[in-house]
Amino acid sequence: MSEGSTAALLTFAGYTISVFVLAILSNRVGKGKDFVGEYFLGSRSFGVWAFALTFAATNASGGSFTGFPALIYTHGWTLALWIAAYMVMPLVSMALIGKRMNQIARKTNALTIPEVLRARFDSSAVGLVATSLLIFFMFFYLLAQFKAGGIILSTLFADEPLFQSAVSFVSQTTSNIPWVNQAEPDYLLCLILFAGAVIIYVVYGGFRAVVWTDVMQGIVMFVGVILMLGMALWQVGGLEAATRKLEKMIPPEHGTAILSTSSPSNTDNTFAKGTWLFDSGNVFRLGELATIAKGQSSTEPVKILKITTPFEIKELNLKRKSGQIPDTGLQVKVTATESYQYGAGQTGAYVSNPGPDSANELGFLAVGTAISFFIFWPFAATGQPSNMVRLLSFKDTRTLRYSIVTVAIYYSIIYFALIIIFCCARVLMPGMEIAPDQTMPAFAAQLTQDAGIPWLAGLLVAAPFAAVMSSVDSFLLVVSSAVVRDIYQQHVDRQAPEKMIKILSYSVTVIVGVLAVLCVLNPPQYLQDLIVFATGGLAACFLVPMLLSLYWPRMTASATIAAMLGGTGMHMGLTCWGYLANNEFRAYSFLGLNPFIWDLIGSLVIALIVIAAGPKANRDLVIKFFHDASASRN
Amino acid sequence: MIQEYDPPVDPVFKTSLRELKWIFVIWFVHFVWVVGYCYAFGYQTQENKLTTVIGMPSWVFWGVFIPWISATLVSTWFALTQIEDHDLPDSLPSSIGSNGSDSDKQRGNGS
Repeated sequence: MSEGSTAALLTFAGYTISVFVLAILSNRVGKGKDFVGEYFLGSRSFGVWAFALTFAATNASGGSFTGFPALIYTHGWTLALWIAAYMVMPLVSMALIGKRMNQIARKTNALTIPEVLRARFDSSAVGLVATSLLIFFMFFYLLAQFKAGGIILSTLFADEPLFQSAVSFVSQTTSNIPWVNQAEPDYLLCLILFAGAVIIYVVYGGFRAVVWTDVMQGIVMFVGVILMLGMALWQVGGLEAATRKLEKMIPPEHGTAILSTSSPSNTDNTFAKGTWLFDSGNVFRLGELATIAKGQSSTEPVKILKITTPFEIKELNLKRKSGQIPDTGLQVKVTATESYQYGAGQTGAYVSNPGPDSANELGFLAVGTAISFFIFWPFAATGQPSNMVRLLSFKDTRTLRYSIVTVAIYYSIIYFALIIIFCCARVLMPGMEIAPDQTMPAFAAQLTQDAGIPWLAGLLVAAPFAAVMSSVDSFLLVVSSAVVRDIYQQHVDRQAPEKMIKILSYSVTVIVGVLAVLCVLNPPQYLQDLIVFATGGLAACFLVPMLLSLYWPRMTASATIAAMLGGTGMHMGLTCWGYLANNEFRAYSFLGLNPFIWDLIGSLVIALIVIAAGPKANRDLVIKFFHDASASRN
Repeated sequence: MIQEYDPPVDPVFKTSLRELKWIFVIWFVHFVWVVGYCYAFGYQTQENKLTTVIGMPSWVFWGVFIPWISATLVSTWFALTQIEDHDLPDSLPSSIGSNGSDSDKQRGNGS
């Protein structure tokens, strides 16, 4: 692994240098232009490739390359249905509001989403509510992405000696610093490296650097996925072979076991997580670090995964006999097992819906859930402010049209390829249920090693890293623009000189980044749930108000505020309900439907009630935004 | 209420609204196709026996892969032929740097 790991380190170094070069170039291009317009929106000058790839890369966050592969690996082909709405996502999320919102933003010189809403209703209250909610939800998302960046890097560098030396140094240096010393030193080092790189290039290059790096990251993701697809299909013997083998697979069993040796140990004997264990023809994989203490002959009960698919057991035993997998010689006494709630003992579960599930007796993707996700993906993406703000940056409608085509083709290839790749991974790489989030880097390493080109692992693993980076930079800029533009310039000093705005923009970007790092030194346990909370919350808050503001002349400021608060309130209410009902930080799926649907209904109903009960829309604003005033003058 | 002597409807608004309706139709057609087909043929039953098309389960091929190609082609056709081009207003004048958005700076809708 060390050759691949060194390559990974070199890849990261090369990648980071490229990012900084792009930031320097962006800074030079932006010189002489209006600072705020350039820093937050790249002077609305982006053409097809820049606009399309920044949109695609921002959307494909770290989840696409960490969580999504883990889900495919764990549940099989059913993920094709789960992600299917991505087929219409580019059209919906770009064309539904793109042209109209860009027009209104240009009419009013708005650079942020709260500014668009404020200008549409000429209401500071609308802007303030939008800004507050945006910062609240965005910060959660930023935390999650920073953590993902730290984790991916630490996986990438895990076996690199230079990295281990640096980790020891960090460990010693930070051991007496309160709060900081609670973080794992390898994670801390990677988090600082990651955050430092992102903050520096965002501050130096602004929105233009973010877009240019997104373009590079979009290309890295595409190349990485295509290479992996080719290698995976070649090694598995074609897609037909992969699917046929997947059909024969039986979901494994989680459990605990006591590991023992025939005689007491002379020293502490530790066995790493992931170690393969063979006993009486059965095959297990260690789910956590296990130790046989000095003088003892067995461990405490430890987590194990029991492989249950006959052909996997046979192949793993053959690898043990040939020496490809070391045999620890440990005896395994299973103390408890937990079968999958759906799919246990069955073949065929990985090639059909609803897919096996360890926790849900209805399976992974019940029909109601499938319906929900076909609504959720495209419309939640439309409601994300980080996507909306990109729709303010294209230079003309032709750019928008061609970008829709580009992103549609890009997503078709990337997402369908990911499904195939990780169905192959399920066949080629057994036992990853012990750490599903590491499926992507582990499979990249295995594919490249088996193909005799371990140096390529660095490039493949750069893909998820690029995805996380391209999301973090965008969110960082959206949050800082909300503070500078929507709070300071609107409510503190409307006549602030450019120099002041410049200093403030840089400072806020750095402060937001540093705050996020401090918060994720000890990240909350359910970080993935936080991502879901933040994504759903942002869409619940902004989608309905934005759609009605753009397309319905009768929409009013008070209805917009009500819709934002209504969507947020419903989201928070369902999250509390979910916590009380299931004791987990996840919104309650009332009637089995995705909470997002209820959020939208709540937001819409409240908006309609307020419109019906409240004053009529301001006629001047209706004329301004829904009529062609220039035509009447001619 | 919009009255008779109001200026004509903004063409960007008019065409965007028309396009919005068609986008909903395109989304809905694919929604029905994908979820309907997969519900009918992709959920496990005792009698199910796996059939594949170009290596993927047939329900994935007909219920996800083909609609995905259809959606990409329709999106391409719609974007290239049905979404109308407009001259969007100029913006970001040099003065915006310090003063924020302001309706006074409106430069016309350029339609």
